[in-house]
Formats: sequence, C-alpha cells, structure tokens
Amino acid sequence: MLLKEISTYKPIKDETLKTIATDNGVTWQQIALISLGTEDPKEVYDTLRHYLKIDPKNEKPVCLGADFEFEGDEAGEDLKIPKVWSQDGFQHETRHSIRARVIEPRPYIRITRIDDHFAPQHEKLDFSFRIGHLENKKVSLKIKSEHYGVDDIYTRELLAAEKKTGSDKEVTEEYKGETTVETGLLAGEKLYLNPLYSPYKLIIEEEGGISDEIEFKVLYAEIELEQAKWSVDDKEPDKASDLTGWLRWQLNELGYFGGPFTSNAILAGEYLNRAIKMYKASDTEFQKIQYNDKALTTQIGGYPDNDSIYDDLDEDPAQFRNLLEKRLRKSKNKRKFIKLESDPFSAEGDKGTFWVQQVLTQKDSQFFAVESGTKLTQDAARLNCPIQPIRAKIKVKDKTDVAQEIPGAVGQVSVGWRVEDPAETGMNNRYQALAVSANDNQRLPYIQAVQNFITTEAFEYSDGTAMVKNCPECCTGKQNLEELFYDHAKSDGTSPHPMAVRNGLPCTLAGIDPDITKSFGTSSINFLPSNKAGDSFRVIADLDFDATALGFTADHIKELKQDNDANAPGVVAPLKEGRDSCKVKTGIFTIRRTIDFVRIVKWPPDDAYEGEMPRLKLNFEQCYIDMETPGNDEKVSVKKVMSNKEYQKLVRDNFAPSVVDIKAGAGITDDQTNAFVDAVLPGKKKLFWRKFNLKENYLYGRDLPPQGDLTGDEYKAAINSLLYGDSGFVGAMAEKTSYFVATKIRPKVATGHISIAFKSHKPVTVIDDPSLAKPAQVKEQDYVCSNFSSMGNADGVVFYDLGDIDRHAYVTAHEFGHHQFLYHHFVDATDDETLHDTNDDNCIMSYTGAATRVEGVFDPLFCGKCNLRLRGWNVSAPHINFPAGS
Amino acid sequence: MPHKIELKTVKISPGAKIDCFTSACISIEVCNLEPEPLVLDGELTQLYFEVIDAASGTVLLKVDEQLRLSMLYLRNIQQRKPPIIINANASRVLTFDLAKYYYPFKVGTYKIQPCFQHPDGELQRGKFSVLEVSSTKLIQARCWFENPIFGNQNLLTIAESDANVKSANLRWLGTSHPLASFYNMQLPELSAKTSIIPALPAFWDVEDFSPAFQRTLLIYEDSQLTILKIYRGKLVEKPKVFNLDQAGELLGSAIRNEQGDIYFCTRSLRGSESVVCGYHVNTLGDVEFLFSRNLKGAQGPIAICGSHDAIHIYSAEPELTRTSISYTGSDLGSLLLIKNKGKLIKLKVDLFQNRINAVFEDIDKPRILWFLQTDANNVQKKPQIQALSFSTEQYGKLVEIEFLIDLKQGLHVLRTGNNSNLDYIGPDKKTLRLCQNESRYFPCLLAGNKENPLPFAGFARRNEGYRFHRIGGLNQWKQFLNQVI
Repeated sequence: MLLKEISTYKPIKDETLKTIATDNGVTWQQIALISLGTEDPKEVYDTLRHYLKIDPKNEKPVCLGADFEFEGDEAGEDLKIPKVWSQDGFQHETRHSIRARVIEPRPYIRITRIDDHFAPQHEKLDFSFRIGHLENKKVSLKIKSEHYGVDDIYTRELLAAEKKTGSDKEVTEEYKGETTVETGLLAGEKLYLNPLYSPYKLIIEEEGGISDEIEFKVLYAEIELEQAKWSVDDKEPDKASDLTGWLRWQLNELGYFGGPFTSNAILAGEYLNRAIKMYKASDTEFQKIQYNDKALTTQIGGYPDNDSIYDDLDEDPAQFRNLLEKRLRKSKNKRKFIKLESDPFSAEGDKGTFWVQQVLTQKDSQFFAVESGTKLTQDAARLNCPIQPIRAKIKVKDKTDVAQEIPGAVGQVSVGWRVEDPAETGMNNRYQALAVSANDNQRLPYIQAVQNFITTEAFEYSDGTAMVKNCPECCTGKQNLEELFYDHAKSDGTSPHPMAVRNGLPCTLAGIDPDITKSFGTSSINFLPSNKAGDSFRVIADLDFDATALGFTADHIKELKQDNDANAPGVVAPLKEGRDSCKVKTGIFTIRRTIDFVRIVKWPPDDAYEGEMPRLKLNFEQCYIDMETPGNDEKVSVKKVMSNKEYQKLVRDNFAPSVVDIKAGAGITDDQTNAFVDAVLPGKKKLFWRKFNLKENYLYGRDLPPQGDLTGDEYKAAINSLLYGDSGFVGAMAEKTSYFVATKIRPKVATGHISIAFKSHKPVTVIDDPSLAKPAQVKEQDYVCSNFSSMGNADGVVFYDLGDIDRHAYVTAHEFGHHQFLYHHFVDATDDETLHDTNDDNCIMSYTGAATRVEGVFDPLFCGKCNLRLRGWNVSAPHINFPAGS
Repeated sequence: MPHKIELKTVKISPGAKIDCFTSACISIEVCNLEPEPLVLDGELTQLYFEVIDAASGTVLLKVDEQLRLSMLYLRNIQQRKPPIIINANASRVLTFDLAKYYYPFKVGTYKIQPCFQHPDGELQRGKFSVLEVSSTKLIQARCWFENPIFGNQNLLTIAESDANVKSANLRWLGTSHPLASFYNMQLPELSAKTSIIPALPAFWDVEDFSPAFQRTLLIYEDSQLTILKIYRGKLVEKPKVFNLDQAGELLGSAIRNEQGDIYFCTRSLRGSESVVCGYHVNTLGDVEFLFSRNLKGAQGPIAICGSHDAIHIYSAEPELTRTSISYTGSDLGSLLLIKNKGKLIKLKVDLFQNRINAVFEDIDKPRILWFLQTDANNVQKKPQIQALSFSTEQYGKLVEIEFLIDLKQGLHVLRTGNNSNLDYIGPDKKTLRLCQNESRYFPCLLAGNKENPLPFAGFARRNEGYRFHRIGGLNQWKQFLNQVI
C-alpha cells in the first residue's frame, strides 16, 4: 500500500487518532504510519510523545496510541493525513515509473517504570524502558538534579543490547546510585546519590536527538544516635607528636574529663588544666609526693597553721611529667564517671548517669573555707563538666522504607542539637519520705517551689525550649546550647563536622570524607552537660532542614524525608515542616556527684559505726551525691596509722608551750640559748611532751590532773578547759592530727572523706565538794567532758568527737557538709542565713540544741538551700527568687 | 498542789549599793515547808532571778542557767548538773554570783526578784531586794589572757573615788567568750600613787589544776612591792611586802610559773640607757636579784614576757626618723628585731600568739599610724605592716589606741581621740563611732578563736562599766550597744 500525504493536521482537544482517521476517511494506522513511521499500537504513543511533544503532564497512565486524547496544545509536529495512493489510467504494457519510499520507523525512547526511591549503594535503582530504532545511535543514561546545576551527576552510554528495540527493557549493567560528576559535593568515588538533591531525573537520551526522563528520589529515613569516642576520627593521639592530645584522651578515658576534642582551643585548654590538677590530687603516687616533699609543703600559703596541699600539685603537665605519663599510661586511678543502663543513646526509655567529683576543701579547714574561695569558685576552678561525644548516624530509606546505613548516600546534611529538661521523678520519696516526722516537711515544698519558679518564670534554653528543673544559668547552670554542645574534632582541632548556630541551635554538618571512616555519613558533637548534680537531660538530634543553610528551597527540603501515614500503610503522610520531620531523642542522662567516705580511724578501736552509714548516705543521696562508705578493712585502729613517737611529736609541736625561740632570727647557737636558760631559770627545761603516750582509747595521752581541792564544778570546768578551751588539747591537736592521719592515708587512697573518731580523755570521778565531810560528798563516776568538738578539717578529714551528743551520722554529715563548703545554720549570729532555708528548722548544718530545732521532729537533713549548694547551685543568685523565708 | 516553799533574799554582797564595775552575789534562802524533800532538777523545777527596772517595773533580765551558759560559751552546750535536794522541813541558802551570769549592771536601781518555778509550771515569786548601781571614775583597765589551760581573759579595773581612794576589781572572764566571768572579786583599797600589775603565767605543763586557778598581782609604791596571791577567786595568804631600793619603775607585767615563783623586772633610766633588772621571788618569799641589762638607747616602751624557761625583754630605741625594737636575753646583748619608720607609741608582746604588736606614729605626719605585727618566733619573717590615716578634724588627737590583726589578716582598730570619741575602724577601713563624750574608754581587742574568728572589743563607759562586744558588723554593734542592762 502506498500512501500519499495530502494534508497536515493539528489535533484539537479530545480528538484521537481514530477520530481523526474517521473524519478523514482513512485508518488511524495509515495516519500513524505516515506520521510516526509505525502502526504498531505499542509504539504509536511512544513516538507521538516525542514528535508531537506531548506535554508530560498530559500523559495518561495507559495509552494505547490510537485512543490517546489530544489536548490540542501539543507543541510538536502536525499529524500527516494520507490517503491511499491509487492511480487509474495507466496504459498496459507501458513502463511507468512511480517513486515511492518506504516509511522508516521513527525512533523512540520511553521510560516506563522506576522506583519511587531507593537506597543508593545498598540496592539498584530499578527502572524499565522501551526503546526503538536507536540501535545505531549513541544513547546515554544520565542522572540529573535541578538542585545540582547543569552537570550530569551520572552518565554512561547504553550498551548495544540495552539499545536494541524492545519493550520492558532493563539495563543490563545495574545502576546503584553512583556518580560520575567531577565537581560538587557528589564528586567522589565513594559518594552516591543522596537525599539532599532529590528528586533526581533519570534520563535516557539519544545524542542530539530524542530523550525521555523520569523522576525518582533518595529519602532520609531516620537518625540513630550512638556513643562516640573522644576524637572524631576515633584515633588516640600519638604521645610523641601530640602530648596534649594524648593527655586529654587518657584523662577522658580515666574519668577526669580531660577536655573535648574540639576546635575551641581555649575551652579544651581549660579543661585539660583542671583535669591534670584533679588527676594529680586524686592519685596516690602524687599524694605521696605531696605529703612527703618538703619543698612542696613549704610552699603553702595563707594561714601558717593550715597545711594546704592541693595548690602544690599544679595543672602544668611538666610538673612531675614522667610520673604523670607513667600513671596515665598504666590507666591508674580510673574513676567511675559514666553508667549506661542499656543504651540511652539509642533508646528513649534507657538511662545514663554521669558522675562528677565533688570538690572538698583541701586547703583549709571548715571555717576558713571562704578564704580559699567558696564552693562556687572552687567548683569553677577545679571541676569540669562531663564530656560525651555523640554521633548521629543518618540513614536513608530503601525501597521498602527500611532505614539503611549508607555513609556514601547521606550527603552533607546538617544535624541540629538541643536538649530537653525532663521533670524530676520520685520527689516524694527523695525529699519527704526520709523524714521521721510528718511535721518535718520543709524540703519537698522548697524544691517544688524552686522548680515552680523555674517554670512560671519561663526559664528556657537558648532555642526557646522550656526548662523544668535544671539549674538555671544565673545559678551557675547552663542554658545556652552553645555551652552544652561543642564541635567534635580531631586532636588538631579540625573537624569534618563544622558547627554553626542556626535558629538558636548548634548544627553540625555530616561528614562526606570517606577517609574519615567514623564521620563519613554521620555527624557528631561533644555534649557537655552541666556538672550540677540532679540536672538531667535528653539530647535531641534532628536533621536541620533549614533550607537557607543548605541552599535549597523550603519546599524542596521538606520532601527529603517522607513518611507513610501511620494509619494508612502505603499512603504518604502529609509532609512535615522543618526539623520535626526527622528527629530522635536519647534517654535521660542524669548528673550525679560522687564523694566517698574512705576510712575511719577508730580511737578507741571498738566501735564499727556500721549502723550509722545508711543514714549518713541518705543525706547526700537527697542531693544526688553518691557515697561509698568504708568497709571493715577500711576501719582501722589509731595504732595502725600512728606510732607513739609520732603521737608525741604531734603533742610537742601543737600542745607544748610556745617557746619564744629567738634563735632563728638572731643566729644564736643552742649552747648560747642553754646558757641563757640556765642562767635565768635553771632547771626549767622540760620534755613536756614525753609525758604523753599514745593511748588506744583516748586522745589525751596521759592521766588528767587530780581534783585536789577544787569543787566539782571547778574541776569539771578545768577539765573542759584543758580539753576544749581556746588552747585546749582537742583544739590544739585537731588540725595537725587530722593532717598527719591524711599523710598516712592519702598515699593509699587519694580522695574522699576520712574520719578520726576519738574519745577525748579517760573518764574520771568527780567529787562535788572536797571540803565537805566525806559522807556528804556526791560522787560522779566516769565523768567525761560535757564539751565536745568535732571539726571538718582540711583535705576531707573529720575530727569526730565521740563525746558529741548528736548521732554519729548527723555529726559526720554536718562535718562532711563543711568539707563541701557548707556553713552553719542557726549557730551563731554571724552565720550567713542567706545560704539556708530559714523556714527549715532541721537543717543538719545547725547544732543540736539550737532553739530552732523542733523538739520531737529533729532528724536533720540538708535544708533546701544546702541541698542545692551541694549540687553546685549558686543560691545567692540575684535573678532567681528562692522561696520565701529562705 | 505545788510544793509549799518560802523564798527570801538573805544577803546581797558586797552590798546593796555597788558600782558598775562590780557584780553582786545574791543569797537566797529556800525553805521547804513540806514533809517531802524538794528537788530542784534545773529543768522542771528551777530557781532563778528576775532583774527588774525599779522605776518602770520592766523585767530586764531573766538570770537563769540558760543565760549563764550562753554568756560563758560560744556554742550551745548541755551541762549535766546534779539536782539540788532540800530536805523536808529544811531550808538551804543558795548563793548566786551574778558575775557568772552577766556583766555588772549599768548605773540604775534594780529590783532583784527571786523566782521559783514549780514542776507544774506555776511560778512563785519571793520578796524582791533593791540593788543600786552607781557610777565611778575608772582610771585604769588592764585585760590579759591568763593561761592556755584554764584560758581565761582577765580584766583588772581600777576606779578612783572623789576622795582619791582607788578600788580595784578583778574579773576572770569566760574561757572563749569574754562576757560573763567565773570569778569576780574586789581587791584591797589602794592609795593614789600605787601601780598594780599582773604576773603573767609562764608555764604549760599541768600536773594538777591548782596553778590554773591562781592569779598574782603586784602592787608597787615607793620602792615597796606587795604581792597579792589569789586562788579560786579569793585572796590567799597574807600579802607579802618587799622593799626594793632604787629599783626604778616596775615594768608593766611580771611573770609567774606553776610553782608560784614570781619574776619581775624594773627599769631605771641612766642617760640614754635603760637599765632593766630582773628579780625572782621564790616560794619562801625571798626576793633575789637575777640579772641586770643595760639597754643602750632604749628610752621607749619596754615589754617583757616569759616562757616556761626564759624571760624575754623587748625594748624600743627611738632614732631620728625611726624606732628600733630589740630583743634582749641574758648576757647576749641586744639583738635588733625590727626597725620601722616613725615613733613607737605602743608595744605589746603576746606570748600565746607569739606576736609582737607595735604601733608607730609617722613623725612628719602624725595623723598616720603604722600597725606592725611580727612573729616573735621568727623575726626574719617579714612583719605585717598596715597604715591608717586619721584626720584630726574627724578623730581628734590620739589618746588611746588598740589594734588586732585577726585570723583572716583583717586589721581592727579601736581609737580614742581628744574629742572624746571612741571609734572602731574595721578591716574594710570603715569607721564606726562607738561612743561619745567620755575622755577615756580603756579599749582592748581580744582575738576570736578558730571556730569564730571575729574578735571582741572591750571598752568602758561611765554608766555602763566595762563590756565586751563581738565585732560582727554595724547592725550587731548597734544591737549590742543598745542592750538594756
């Protein structure tokens, strides 16, 4: 059959090839053949698309060519209307030449199917296409994205088999999202398509000719958080070439918070200094040096009577460098600093705990604590915050919407970091159930009032997230997210995850360098929570779909993560705006502090004090402070730590008469002095202290003077004065005996409270009035001083007087409170009551017998303000209204 | 029914008319009128006094055990006192030394009202007695720390009557708290020319407590030395009297050891030299000459102190623009301890704190005072020196000065000027005018202790006697100064 074109025709709306053919008295096949080169129904539509330039939006899901309804606005060629050529009148047996040409089929390409989304590298991108009549042409497969500029992200020439005309074809060489582009953030051997540039177009294109394209996506699935190592590259720095980094790493490993590996060199340096000093103070070998090195102990400043030690071991790594390196290398003195209950990084329901060391007054005894700084300045000078690098593994969806971890397909997406302040749980038990009386109920409402103030006054983190109970910034807590999060870097401070703050949130970029394995396709950050005991945090990481930051439009970005409707499987849920579309929370991390009670020196040796330990620990438990108490091996008789000679030396140095010794200043020899003494006061030299001997049962190591003719009252007053007067034996011995005991114990256990539990003197019999006739005498057997003196001395040593009328647990907690920088409550007019809840009559920092202590109720604990101070709060902050009366 | 008793005041000593430097002793007789013993347990059953303003009837003070303890001790203590039992149908006289409960009272007329609290809470009041407290002119006050064991502060006050008769009072103040006293006693009358000094203890060891209950005072007049020995608040023995020919002036304190030996020193001026002579009074009452030291150029103050094995002499040598302080022992010659700009106007050696305290006045600018403290044990150690400037317009010319450097290195100064004001200058350099309109206050400053390092300031006022106040800031000063009694 020969066809002859007689006209062209531009279809109008709703016409089909069939209707046009009918109107023109031809078959639709004839129109298709002359216009498109094919009458194969399967090919007609494919060629129509190309040559009439059917707008893709008008394409129908199923097109059988002749039934395709035109829109009438097709921009391509017109249809050709033929008629079957016929010619009458040819003369028989005459040669006629008729030139006709065979209608060649026109080439076409049609991509018929493709995955909506896929997980590059993990799986191949499935797509089908039909191709026709391009066997001899150069045809390429290309990937493009309008978000990636004009370059082809990927291109390759179709193989011969792939070009061969046919339907339902698939590429024989599968495509898994690789890139061939040489510029931009997708250029790289190990880089794959990622969600950032979605949607992508897959294009099959004849060189200089026709092409077809189809859209597909790569989508983010979720973020999974995990605990990261100290440096972003997971590499322990080399000691020889990077001593600072090595020290920091080791101190982190051992629990001293040696500093984040971050680009913030100043912060890292401050952390390292504090950690080195804290490590030295916490290490037994350094304690040996500290207590034995005369050169160090003579550096002690401040009060000559106080044997300060802690300042002598400084933050300089060069000081005793060999020892420092040796101890760190051997991982000595590791402290418990983190506990994970299951995996709080990846599961909201799991929990974690960070332990911060509680700082003790090391330089001075209790009442001079203010001289070496308050708790606040000491905390600031010596305490680091916990450091926890957290890594966000960013996953993409595979075809079945399962999250896959494919580092090369993540892209340089930004991850935002923030925190939540979870409500405190178990408050009734913590603050009230301990009280022995229902009337002793001041602590719970106090803490509640503080928390109420925080919520009603709208304290919030710097991104606007409301605070609930954590320590506000004005009370030395942290509210600024830029102080809670620091970038996570290598030892040299460079980071594949540079941080920027957007919309109040620290945001870090995901790593795209395949050579930094752990950071590739992840983003990590240093989380530095506060060091306030009782604070707790959830960390929230989210994909920062901040369009501006990534250089995209908001409409584009929100499509990077699509979720199916939870109630309608298979249906895409409405797109979520911004960061809420992809976020993840950790479990709750709680900050606690630790300070252990490490030794009891028993003087006398018969009391084990075991029953008091739970009650002692409860005081601190309320304040989120964990305390281990001494085991039986850690309760030792005084004779285990002191010889008679050493005891006599203590007496000589501290209780003996203060001889005006002019020799030191004047260069007088001993002989001259003796000559003088003999000349002026012959025979008066006495070895006074040798009359004292170490007694296992009593501090005062000799018999008390007899009563003589003194009345009972006078005698008792004299004994009390001898033991407890301003220059009394107990007071004279207290500090230096404590110090001495510390010198013996610290080389074995470097930190923690020590208690010396002593009886002051041997009981005596007191007669009411010796001048009366014997039958009238009133005898008091086994009299012991009514006075007593327990003291919290330097370096955490309690000098605990067993004559104290309070319970052991009360006194010990009270003195431990002093060690932890607490001051008296209701004891003296000069007490700073702004540091206490004055509504609480039962603060343990008061004395038994204080008028304010409620009779029948008194079972003391730390008052609300002491509680907060122990945690590390500044309760004198001007910007917070602590409850009335406090 | 409450136990039937009768209360009456039977004696007020030294009399119902006393001065404001004296504390009275009140004796109360409690008659038990029941056939059962009466038990005063000090808790449910209490005997105490009320001190009532005679004019207004206002109860000014409840003098009970609680008050006594609060005045004697810094911290709350629980004293276990045995109960007092008064037999059936018997009586007992109980004597209360008010000195042990409170300061001597201010000038005024008071009713002393004995009160008895029955176990059921009913209060029975006995007949009151009237106590008149009068003013007297104080001419000397001396405060010293007695000894480290029974560590009282001691206050010797000497008043003078219009008839030029001196009366002296010795109070042994509380151990760590110089408010109330263990003992309070009147000393024998003295003549107008008499000087009286304490013998400071120079011992430590305690074989028995009796030395700690001793006090020794030396009275000196016209080369005649009288030694008063006091034991447990009372004079013991007959005073011993010695003649010291040409001994010169008695130095401001003597030294006593635990055996009761007394060492004292005199000073005579010979040209530019001071000759210091040391004497020993042994327990037999013999005076022995011990040593003589020529202190070249020592025309300024001289202080002595004793340790358990030596006597130490500190002397001042004025030069043109500065003053030296030297130490002298036996025959070792003088050793220069300190050289400081200005004129030395006060020198004290504190044996128990091992400190030499000195006040210098700037010669060119007398309004500037230098307060120097150094370690007597180690004179190589650089002394602490702090300067204060006092304008004559504000402070007047210097009459009295006392200073103390507390455990926190804070300088506390009490200063009297000739404008009749007593000013306190604290470590913050702020001045608080404590009193006005009296020519002398005899101020002293006592160190606090380690438990509470705030010092005490003591001073006299004409109508109020001698009192101590803890230095605890302006508000507390006001509170103390406005005490009712």
